[in-house]
Amino acid sequence: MMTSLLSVLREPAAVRGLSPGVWDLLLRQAASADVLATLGLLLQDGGLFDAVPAAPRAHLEWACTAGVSHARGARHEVDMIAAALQELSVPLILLKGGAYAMAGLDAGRGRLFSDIDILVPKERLHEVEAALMLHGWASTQHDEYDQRYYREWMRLAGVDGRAVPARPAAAIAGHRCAPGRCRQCLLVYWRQLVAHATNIAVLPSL
Amino acid sequence: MLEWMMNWCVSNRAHSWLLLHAAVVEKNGCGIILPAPPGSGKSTLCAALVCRGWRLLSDELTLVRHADGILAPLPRPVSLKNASIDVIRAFAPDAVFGPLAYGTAKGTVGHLRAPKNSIQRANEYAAPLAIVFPRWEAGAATVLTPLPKARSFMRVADNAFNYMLLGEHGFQTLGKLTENCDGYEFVYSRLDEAMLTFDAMVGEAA
Repeated sequence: MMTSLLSVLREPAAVRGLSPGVWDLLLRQAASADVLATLGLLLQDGGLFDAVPAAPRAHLEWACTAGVSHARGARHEVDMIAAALQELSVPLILLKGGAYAMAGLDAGRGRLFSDIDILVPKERLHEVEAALMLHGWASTQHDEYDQRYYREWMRLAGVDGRAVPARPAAAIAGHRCAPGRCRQCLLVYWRQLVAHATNIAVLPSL
Repeated sequence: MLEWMMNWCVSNRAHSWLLLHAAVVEKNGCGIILPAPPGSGKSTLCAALVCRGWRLLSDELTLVRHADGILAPLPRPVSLKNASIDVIRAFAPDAVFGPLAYGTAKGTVGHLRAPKNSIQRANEYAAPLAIVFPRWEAGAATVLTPLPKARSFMRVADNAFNYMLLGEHGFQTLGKLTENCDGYEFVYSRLDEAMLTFDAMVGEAA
């Protein structure tokens, strides 16, 4: 059976004894899917680097370095966001990539993401945006059309003007309302999220 | 374009080295690093040196190994632009150029063949002796000015591709490099005089 990227991600020990040709394909697949660092760290954690030939191993080690650098940059950015939100007493709730990385979850190992998504109470959105702006962030979405798209349809604007795709209404079973428009749903969803969020106690500014 | 892509592949991936945007040459076992932004005469100076017996490690990318600060060669044809092509033809009539490319984004581009000896010794690493920041200035006298260590450090960091990405590792490697190398600012207009300056640096009398 052909060794695919997916099979190696599911079972890292499958890299033992791969031919140079298969490594070539595997590395290109992983780079193209932006998971080269994930693969590298997976093999490193599993003590499998010794089973990798020198040339692909160099690529994986380089990717690990880049992945670690990305995580460091993300941590710094989150710290800056936390400092901006601190004066508003708005809790910092991270979603997706930033959340996985900061909570130290396996899904965040080597994961590359281009934005940090945060969730804030809707009624405080303007304050939060103002605080972020005062701390040096600028919106990259100046276009009114884009702004309307994000605010009307994505519901919650994230840092850097990017959007957090949120489906708050789905949080309450059997309750029918316009997705993301029902205040009751939002409040319940918000409380659930805060209650279930993973605490990150390592930020110096928190 | 191919050349640019090859450089991109190295400068964005090979993180087991501190990667500098710098030409690098060697004589008598002494490596000299020439970091400089485009237009400062770095490649022209590098081409002149390799036409006069210096070994070409690279005209574009300096690879500094983390562990010991030693320099890895990457010898390829030296890319020269516009007036530099005729300057080197006049300076070294035996120099061999590939076909010129006219009307590129950078004007006319020609590639000077890398010396055979440099290619044969492509696997031979070199110890760095000095970091020289060259600047060509029309009609200028030849002046070599020593730079304080801290100044060299910052200027090399400005010319590094992956200094930020490497984090503490990059700081250590760059620290060792600037500690072990003398730093100079070099202003010149006449290549013959420049050759004498460089030969003197590695203990060769005129």
